[in-house]
Amino acid sequence: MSAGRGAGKSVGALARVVRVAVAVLVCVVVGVASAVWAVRARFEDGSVANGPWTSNENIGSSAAGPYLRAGVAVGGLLALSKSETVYFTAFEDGAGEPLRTTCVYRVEGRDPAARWWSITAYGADHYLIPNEGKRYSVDETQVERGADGGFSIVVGGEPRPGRNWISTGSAGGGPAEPFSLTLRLYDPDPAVVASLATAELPAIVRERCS
Amino acid sequence: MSRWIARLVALAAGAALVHVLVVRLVPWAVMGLAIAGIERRAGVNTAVFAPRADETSRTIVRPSPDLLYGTCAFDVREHPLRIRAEVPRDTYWSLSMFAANTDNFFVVNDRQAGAGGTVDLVLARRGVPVQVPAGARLVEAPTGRGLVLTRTLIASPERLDELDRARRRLSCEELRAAR
Repeated sequence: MSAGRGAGKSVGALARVVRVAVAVLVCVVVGVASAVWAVRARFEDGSVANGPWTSNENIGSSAAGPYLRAGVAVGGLLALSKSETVYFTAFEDGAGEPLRTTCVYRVEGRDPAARWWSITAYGADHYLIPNEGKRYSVDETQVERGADGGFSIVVGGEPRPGRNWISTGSAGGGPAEPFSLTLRLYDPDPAVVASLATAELPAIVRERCS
Repeated sequence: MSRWIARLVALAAGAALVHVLVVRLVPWAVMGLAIAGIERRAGVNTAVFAPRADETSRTIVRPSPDLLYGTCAFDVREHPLRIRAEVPRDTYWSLSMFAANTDNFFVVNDRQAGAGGTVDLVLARRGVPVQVPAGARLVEAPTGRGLVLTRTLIASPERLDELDRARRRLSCEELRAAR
């Protein structure tokens, strides 16, 4: 009889341990998942959209809130504050479709108002995308401009002649991987800093997908 | 019924606590990993110069392949740090400092510093009295550890070697007798 009561107590204690463990697990999973979602959603004061480009006026600043700070740590560590550099990042094209390595895009426009600018492609892991010619970026010093002063840069896996090509590394096929573009404006014009949402930035136009 | 409500409230409170902890600790953890990675290569308070960024670069996310970087992982908890750098001509250059929580607390560029000149800084923990050598400028760090980073724009492929030599004149040196 007492052996039965002891076994019952053991089972009860084990059930309590399991319940607590499950509760802790639920807290960790929900807490981590909601934190990741909140950081990715970038719901924070200072977030700015300009066409397909997004930025935040508090990047690198001590005024950054916890979500922006966490987002910068994961996807833009060592970013400078906006007086020195403005960073715009695009995960989508101008039509709102996610950027994919199996598509070809044109990034076209005029020189943004800054002392120096560059456009760089990054993989989903936030690192440069492997490609044979090391064509990771196009910048203000190398871009080829048309007679009207504007430029058109091709972003895609298929090699293109000239300097206006950024490779997404998927020449010859391969799975459709998401990627992003970062537009850096170093020593930006004060007018750009004051109006991140309306500054004139290059458009991102999808040409075709395979 | 009330027992179940109490359990749900406890679960929500626990999840909220984990949420806040993750968001608050991520910047410190990521920066800590970056500092540790640089320290493994060169040690603390020592300048290190990464090769030009390519797809194999994994120390810092979203590196720019158009820039040459120079870095010091700093620790000024015991001694201030003297930081000297050469400012190249006719290209963008900056020296910036980042706290352990990722905040960019200092930056000076080539136009502000004077192209062709040098930058001479003393980095010390905020509020700690320091004897600053003549000609140097005091910068106060909000955290004891962090990173110093120089960026040099490769203005043209022909200037790569010249600009690389200039960036390698970055030095970070503990000022052991300065306090």
